[in-house]
Amino acid sequence: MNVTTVFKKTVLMLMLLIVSTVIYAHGERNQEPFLRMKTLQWYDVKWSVKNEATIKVNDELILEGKVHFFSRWPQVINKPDTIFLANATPGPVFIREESYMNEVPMIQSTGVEVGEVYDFRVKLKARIPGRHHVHPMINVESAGGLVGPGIWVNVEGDADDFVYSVETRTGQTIENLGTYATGNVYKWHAIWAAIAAFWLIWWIRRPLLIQRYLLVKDGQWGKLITLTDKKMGATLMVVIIGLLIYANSITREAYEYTIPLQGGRAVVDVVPNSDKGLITVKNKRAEYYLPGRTVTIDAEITNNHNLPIRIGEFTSANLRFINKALPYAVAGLDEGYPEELVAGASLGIDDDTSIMPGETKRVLIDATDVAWEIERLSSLLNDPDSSYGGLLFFYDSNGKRIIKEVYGQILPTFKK
Amino acid sequence: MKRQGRLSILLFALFFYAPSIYAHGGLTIDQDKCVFRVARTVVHFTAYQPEVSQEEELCKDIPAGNNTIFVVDFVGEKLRKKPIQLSVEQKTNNRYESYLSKVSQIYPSGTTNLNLPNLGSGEYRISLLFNGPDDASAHTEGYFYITVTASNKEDSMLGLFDKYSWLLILASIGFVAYLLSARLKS
Repeated sequence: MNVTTVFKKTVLMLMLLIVSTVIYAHGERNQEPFLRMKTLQWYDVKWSVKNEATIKVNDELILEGKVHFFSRWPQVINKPDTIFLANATPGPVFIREESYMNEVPMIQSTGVEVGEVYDFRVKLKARIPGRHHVHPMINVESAGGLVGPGIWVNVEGDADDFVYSVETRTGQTIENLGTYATGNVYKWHAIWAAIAAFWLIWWIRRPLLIQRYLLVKDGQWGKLITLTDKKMGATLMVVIIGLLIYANSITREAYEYTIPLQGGRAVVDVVPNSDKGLITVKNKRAEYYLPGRTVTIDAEITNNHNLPIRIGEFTSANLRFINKALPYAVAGLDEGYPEELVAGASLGIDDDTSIMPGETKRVLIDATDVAWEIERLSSLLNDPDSSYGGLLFFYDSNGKRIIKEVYGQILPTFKK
Repeated sequence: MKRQGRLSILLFALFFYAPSIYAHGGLTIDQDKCVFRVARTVVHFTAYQPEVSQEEELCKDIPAGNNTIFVVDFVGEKLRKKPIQLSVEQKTNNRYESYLSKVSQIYPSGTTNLNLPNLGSGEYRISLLFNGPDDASAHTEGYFYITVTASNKEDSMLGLFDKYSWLLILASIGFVAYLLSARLKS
């Protein structure tokens, strides 16, 4: 390869680097707004410890809440026909002991229906010391991970003290899954690595490139592989197969009762929504007022319930806008909920009086907070599909909460 | 060598197009270049001239003579709980004097904006002042400096480059095609 060719390749590579955009690296903020607003809406999320709490290695942490699969699922990503409930943390700093959706164990993947709500519960155990952000997460096949709200957790202690003990169905106790049978793993890796190294050395120990090139040039292909090479290859094949049979038999003897790794899918039944049809919400118009960092939703709301209702909260992409004039809504905000995910100002509603049974009212809802910019959600205005999605929480006069989706096109504006 | 010299010039020219120097570098609001710090917390500044450049975010260099909206975002949570005195000051005779100000108030939504119709050229600064005699960080100040220029952005070097950057892109694509075809031939 001459200097000019190397130079050209370098130029090409540098050109690609220059015209590429800045690589984002800030977790969920890097996901497109439509992914965060029109896929999963997480709510009632609770952690068994407070935000910024300190726990020790081996302590448990439980995340639970509800996740709503938005009915206007984006067309550009796969439907949630195959999903997996997990947790988003910076690597395996926690291990996941248990996970459930609607009380069904989520060891395997499952499928869900859009427009429905599912309870989730994830039990973690602290493994690596440090300050970690802990979120629930659902992986959607071919779409990636969709992350819920997170809190900071400080883990103290020594990673070497981590122990994950389990009892098998045959009554055997494994003291620590983290180190169980690792000696065996190292042994077999060493054996196979030694065989691989031997085979590699067998070939590279003799002159490799120039002499073999000359043989090929002279048309003496047959001399590339000698009779000894063939004998060695055959011997190695016999040894490897023999080793496999031996390894299989000693493994069966050591671990008499095993089941295959499960490849099936869990089935989660949908819990019927008894509130369906109680309220109808139609988005008439939505705008993003750029200078004010405000999403304004012009919505027509019909109360089909037998009690008056009021708007309590608007939530989208893990951001919560609470109507602070409604006590039921304020009570729905848990103490210690991550501050950066709750708008400081109240949700603005031009007519906050109750919507009476049978009444249809058109209201303007203002969700104002700099979080629209910090979370990069305002970049949806630059998407080919510039639309938003979220949930409206209504409360009737008895404090019962009714949740409805709201979605529609959104346009930028400079007029308030 | 002559060819390598041309390549080097092209490469050097392409560095100016690197998107990282436009539109705040595509970074999140708390990390881009239009931020300043007050009491160790981040404040972000944006200017809009909707009638001229719609949603384009302006920062330290703003064209004069247009209706302009200044937006100040208090990224740090701490700033949303304190009363803040926000002013726009213009430099006159080497001193900054008040041009427009807002009464001291708390901004729970973390953002506020000011309308400045027909903004004149000159040196300005955004001034933030914490109020509150009982506050340990009372009278903490922070500034963000802005230049408002009378010349049209398009006439500046950067503006011209921006206007004709499509030519550079076309030339780059043509050059890449040439390199690839030369390789195929060989």
